[in-house]
Amino acid sequence: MKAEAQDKGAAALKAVELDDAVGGRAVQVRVVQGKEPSHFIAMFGGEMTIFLGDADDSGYEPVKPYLLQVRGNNPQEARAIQVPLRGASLNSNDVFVLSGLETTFLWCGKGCTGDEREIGKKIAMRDRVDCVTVYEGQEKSEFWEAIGGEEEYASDKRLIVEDNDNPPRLFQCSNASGHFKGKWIAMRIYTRWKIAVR
Amino acid sequence: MQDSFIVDNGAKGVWVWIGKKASSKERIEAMRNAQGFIKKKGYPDHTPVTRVIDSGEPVEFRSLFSKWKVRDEAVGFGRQHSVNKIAATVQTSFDAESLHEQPKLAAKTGMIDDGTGTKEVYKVHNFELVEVPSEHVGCFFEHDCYVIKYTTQGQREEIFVYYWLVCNFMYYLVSQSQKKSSKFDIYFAGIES
Repeated sequence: MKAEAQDKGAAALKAVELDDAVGGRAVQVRVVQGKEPSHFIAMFGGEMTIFLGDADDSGYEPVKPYLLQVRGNNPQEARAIQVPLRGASLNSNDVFVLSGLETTFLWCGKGCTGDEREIGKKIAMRDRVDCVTVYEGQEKSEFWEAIGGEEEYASDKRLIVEDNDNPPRLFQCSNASGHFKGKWIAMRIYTRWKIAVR
Repeated sequence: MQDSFIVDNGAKGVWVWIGKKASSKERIEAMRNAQGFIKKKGYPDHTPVTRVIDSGEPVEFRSLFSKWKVRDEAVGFGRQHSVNKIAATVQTSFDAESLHEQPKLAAKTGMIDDGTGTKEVYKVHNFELVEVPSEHVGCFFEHDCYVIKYTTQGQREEIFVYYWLVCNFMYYLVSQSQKKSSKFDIYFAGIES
């Protein structure tokens, strides 16, 4: 069930409606996939999951089985993102959850952190089926069968993919004082500034 | 402490240990006693005799005792300090109130609270908001759009309305905003400096 294009456009309008319903007190924040602010992620206690593609008929469950890449060391930055279900999607620096089968596999790369494993475990537990923890280099054949065959994947330490290392920033530029001044203001949006959408 | 002792290490040497509170007579006699001890035991005349004072024992003397302990002495390699490790920090829960005292931390995270307030998650479907069941909260599908109403806890209640979109959605938004220019005129209001 693919969302209609106009539904996407409606999101911003609906945000305005919700704001109006509380008398315009709310602060509206536009969040783009992959650039979620800390607070947005923190709302979900480290269990935020992004699925690529469509949901199944219920509209809330992804097509099974699926592979999730877990990243982030604390609830303010932890995200799970769906990646193509194949051995080449793995990365030694992260934790992966292979879900939707009889057993859930939690694959822990050599470079992953204990916090990442904990967050991955939390996500794996959502399925309410047995969870098998698999450590890189000690995979059994059933894991490779489930993922669709062993393939080469990123295993170099240098291939740690830093995401969001350069978040967008907003500058106010003005020459009203006679000198041209640029002032970084973006961070305040979440605390003091108000973005109004008419 | 009040006495003096002779430690016999055979022909390798005889140690005379003098307690801190040993009498002056004892201190003087100690060395002579040791000499007499060597003769009595029949050790060679060149057997060294070393005088050791309480709490000033050298390593050579201490090594004769397997369990000699010195206060504040390093055990093993002692405490190691490496560049990679920083001092241990005290783990505390995220306290939004304290951010006022820690503007740097507040700026870094940009968070108004720890995210434990009440939230309502909606999916946009057919121009309507459909509430997402609680067991599916936190799951986002790339082809859908979501609107989340978040209310902070505490005395000063603040409301946030987040709307979550996919990156390439911008094109659509721009094209739509050109059509209905008045609806998507985003501007900043109430600017404080």
